[in-house]
Amino acid sequence: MAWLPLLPTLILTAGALLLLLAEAFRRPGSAAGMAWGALWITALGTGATGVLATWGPLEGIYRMVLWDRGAFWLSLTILVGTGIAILFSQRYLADRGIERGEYYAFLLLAAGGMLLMAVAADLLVVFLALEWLSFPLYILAGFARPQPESEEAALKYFLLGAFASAFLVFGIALIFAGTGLTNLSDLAAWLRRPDPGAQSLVWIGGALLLVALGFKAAAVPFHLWTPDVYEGAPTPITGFMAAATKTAAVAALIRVFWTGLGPAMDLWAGPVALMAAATMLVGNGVALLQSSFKRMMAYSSIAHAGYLLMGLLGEPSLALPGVMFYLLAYSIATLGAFAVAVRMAGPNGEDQSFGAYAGVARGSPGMGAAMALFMLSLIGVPPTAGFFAKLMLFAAAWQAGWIALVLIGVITTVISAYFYLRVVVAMWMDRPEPRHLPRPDPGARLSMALSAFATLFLGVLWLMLGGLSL
Amino acid sequence: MDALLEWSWLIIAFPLLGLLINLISTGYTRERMAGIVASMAAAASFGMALMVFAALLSRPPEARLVEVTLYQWAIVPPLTAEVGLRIDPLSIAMALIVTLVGTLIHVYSIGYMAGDPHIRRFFMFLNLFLASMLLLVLADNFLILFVGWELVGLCSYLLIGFWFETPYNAWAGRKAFIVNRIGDFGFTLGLLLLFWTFGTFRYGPIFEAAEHGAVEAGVATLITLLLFAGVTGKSAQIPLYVWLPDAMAGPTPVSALIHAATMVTAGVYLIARAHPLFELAPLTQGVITLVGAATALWAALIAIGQFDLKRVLAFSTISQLGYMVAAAGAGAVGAAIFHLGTHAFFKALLFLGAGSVIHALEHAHRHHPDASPFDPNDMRRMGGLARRMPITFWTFGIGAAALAGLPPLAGFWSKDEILAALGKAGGWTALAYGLLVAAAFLTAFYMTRQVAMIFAGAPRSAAAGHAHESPAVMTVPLMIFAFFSVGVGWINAPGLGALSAWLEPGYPPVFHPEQALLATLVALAGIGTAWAIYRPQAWPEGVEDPLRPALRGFFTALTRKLYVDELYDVLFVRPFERAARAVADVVEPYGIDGAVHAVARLVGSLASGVRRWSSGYVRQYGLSVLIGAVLLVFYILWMLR
Repeated sequence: MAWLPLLPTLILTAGALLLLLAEAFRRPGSAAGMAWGALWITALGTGATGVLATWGPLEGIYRMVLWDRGAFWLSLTILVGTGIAILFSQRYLADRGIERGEYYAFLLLAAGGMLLMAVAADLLVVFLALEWLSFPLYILAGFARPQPESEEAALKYFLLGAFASAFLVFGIALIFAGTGLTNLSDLAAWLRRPDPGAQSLVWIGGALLLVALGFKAAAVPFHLWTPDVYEGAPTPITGFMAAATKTAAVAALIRVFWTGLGPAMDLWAGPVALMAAATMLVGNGVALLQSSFKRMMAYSSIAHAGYLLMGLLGEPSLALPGVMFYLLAYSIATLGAFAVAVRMAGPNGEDQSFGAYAGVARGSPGMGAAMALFMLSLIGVPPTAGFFAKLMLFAAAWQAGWIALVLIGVITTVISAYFYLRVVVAMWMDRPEPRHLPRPDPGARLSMALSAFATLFLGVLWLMLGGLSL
Repeated sequence: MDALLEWSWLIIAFPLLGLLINLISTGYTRERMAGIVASMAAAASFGMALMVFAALLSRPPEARLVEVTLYQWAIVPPLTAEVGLRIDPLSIAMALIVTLVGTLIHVYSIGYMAGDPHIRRFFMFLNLFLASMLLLVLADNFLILFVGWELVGLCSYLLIGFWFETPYNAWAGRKAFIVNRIGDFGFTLGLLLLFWTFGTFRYGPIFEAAEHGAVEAGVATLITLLLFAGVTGKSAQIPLYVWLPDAMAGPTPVSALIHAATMVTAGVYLIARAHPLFELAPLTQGVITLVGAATALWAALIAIGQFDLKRVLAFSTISQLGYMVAAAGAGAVGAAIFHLGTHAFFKALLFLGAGSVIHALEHAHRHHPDASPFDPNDMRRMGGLARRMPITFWTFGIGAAALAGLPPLAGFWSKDEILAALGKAGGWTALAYGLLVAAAFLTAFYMTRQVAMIFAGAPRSAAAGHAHESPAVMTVPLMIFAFFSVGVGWINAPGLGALSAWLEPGYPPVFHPEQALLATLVALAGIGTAWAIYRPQAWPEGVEDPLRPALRGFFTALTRKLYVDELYDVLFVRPFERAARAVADVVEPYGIDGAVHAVARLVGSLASGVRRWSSGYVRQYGLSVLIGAVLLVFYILWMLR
């Protein structure tokens, strides 16, 4: 049973390979069948996750992977993100003329890497998972070839990602040199020894890991790739990256810094706090100046990385469920917003500027209402899920004594209301006459409806249960 | 029968269902259907209340308390809110009064509001009003009572300002709401203190704890005084009675509903409901009794100087509420509820009679316009309507006599019971007793004055000269109410005592023959004095009011309601407005807006500095990562040094 923690990863990977095989024999034409296949495989993965949820902690493969409650919630978030992204991709790809079946295979491969990250219990697995999830994403970012923006995004992402991976490998090497260990819980035990001796190699290694993982999570000052890549990548991929990749990166941060380097939190808390503060301020501040929805969402993704980093510092009993719930709430609201955004593309091209959104809600009130709901959840307005997510993270950080950080979080939340609501204002008020978009396809409608329902449902459920028992 | 009690929530649900049907069927059914639906909903609610009453009656007296828990809502433990109903003699007696009077007023409104363009909205509000009051009455804890309490306030606002195109009406609705909110502020504090002390909102545990002396007298006094603050707002007592006269701005059926059944009685009900608490606080009881008695006399005095026929009735309501509050304060809960019930019938009768008069005058004015400015409520321009509107005259006369306390009408029995209850005690209660006897004299006086001015003598305007009797849909409820005004007093007449046996088994109603004789003589004296002054023969042509020359300046003060509104205006309203203006003119634009704009500019300029960071060049992005890494490594080295 040693391989059980890997079950969701294996299902998605095997599914991706099957899809690739099918693609080779597929007749040219609509790739809707591939989308359905990918959806079924994701559902199967979700089912496996659900079955594993009832099982206790499971270790396997030389203690390199670990299945626990945290792994369940992270996997669930990643799989939900993958499913919704598949749902709203198909029509977009068709409209843009880039409907190729490999798309879904790469999406599933990336998701498989992310699921591996969720169960990582060893630095080597962290590295493997990071590379595994990154390579398909490099390709997907450039999937709108030969459009120059898309190619630029892919190249930038690849170059900088490779640069960051170098830091990761070097960091792992230093830690191994200092301790002879790569297993994270062994590392924690090593750090807890009464007399650990010289630690400088471990700490410099830890700093380099923070650089690499901060890069993936888009934390300041390692965030600069984010807006360019998010803007250039195909819109569904941007949504997928904002939600699922963020979850995987935070999963890595949790595994490395809580499980592995947790015993010496005092040492890394300072830099992480600084990064969190800078990330919240820069993300929310620069988002104010954007005039394109996708760029705005890129900075929003940076800003939320800041809140999540703050959560890493929080009182663990609150922070662990807090971070999990936050990732779920943030992912769903972000994917919902992108489900609306993909409707801005048509056969004549794509316009993601705020001006293009003017009057959309008058033509399609349902879309306008859904977008307003997602934006309110991203701001953190009750009774949406986003409110309770922020509440838990702020409470966790407050309990741990990070008062100044919480204040920055509250102030930047207020600032964020301005840019999030700009979209809503554009959609509802900027133009008196309605702008009619083509009727959304069932997939996009379903993804919007699911996200809207989940955003409200999670909020209300949280209220009724007095905090989800995570 | 017991299974029926589990369904007693239907009493509240029926009016809500009526509201829902009217809401959903907007645009599908004709507007006049709205009134029929609403009336049927109210009647169904009355029927359900009757069945629950019967079910309760079939039980032995000591088992007549059923608590029905509908839903439990844990807000933040230990604060939980149970949504539940308390079915006991008091709540069912109130529910019966509310639904019966409410139903009749619904029916009457079909005629009165016919042709109004917003009749559907009117009936939806009316149903909501009824449901809110029933929620208040049937709740089994203070929190749900408060929900009903506030909903009643909201509905009164919506209905008083129903014809909001006229600025005065909208203003009156606002006034009612704000004055009530002032009282509710105290009420809210009282509720919080209650929860603080007892750890629950439920009546049962609270009263049990109170009876076992688990609460200090000082705390009980504070809680009850704060609750009484809410009562002065809702039940229009000194000092917060000022909203009720202006509440006349609403359509007449609304006035009848507010005065008779669904709003002002809430305060009296609260005192009766929570009397185990009030009995722990003798000081509060003394305050309540005196405030009630003083209100009774004060309002009766002002009523003498009013010319608007509904305004006279409004002050009369305030005065009669004073009686009920005084009685409830003195612990005579049965007497208070008895008077509440009889008053509901004859006051509804008087209001609907007034509505009939107004309706007739407006109708006549439309066909026989008059050059002078027309106000259908002005009693100075009426007169001689007895012959033209006989049904209205006779029913109104019965209502007036009942209010004045003539035997054997309803008001006689209930008022007498209050006076008898207060008369036996000494001390401050004796003073209250004196005030109430004086108020009884004035009550008889102003009612006679009103009847004489409306119905006696010759018409004093063209409209009054051409008025006709109102249609049957309006006169039939009048006759029903007149029947009740005559008969309803007998349910608690001595020897019978049905109400007392129901509410307080073992305590028959108090009756002293000499007290009854005194009350009757006082009432007759009031009627005689008024008739001597206002009979047509004694009233010279062209004199506005025969009392004016006699009282001179004081009469003017009475017509101006003893300048209380003006006093409040100077003391509270204008200083508050000035403060609000200062906040709006100075603090808002310079303080709050200024800060917000400054922060926005600051953030914007800082962000545009940071934005230059993302130049689009990969080498620069890489440099940023490198700098971050170097800083981190140096930080670690510095920490490890």
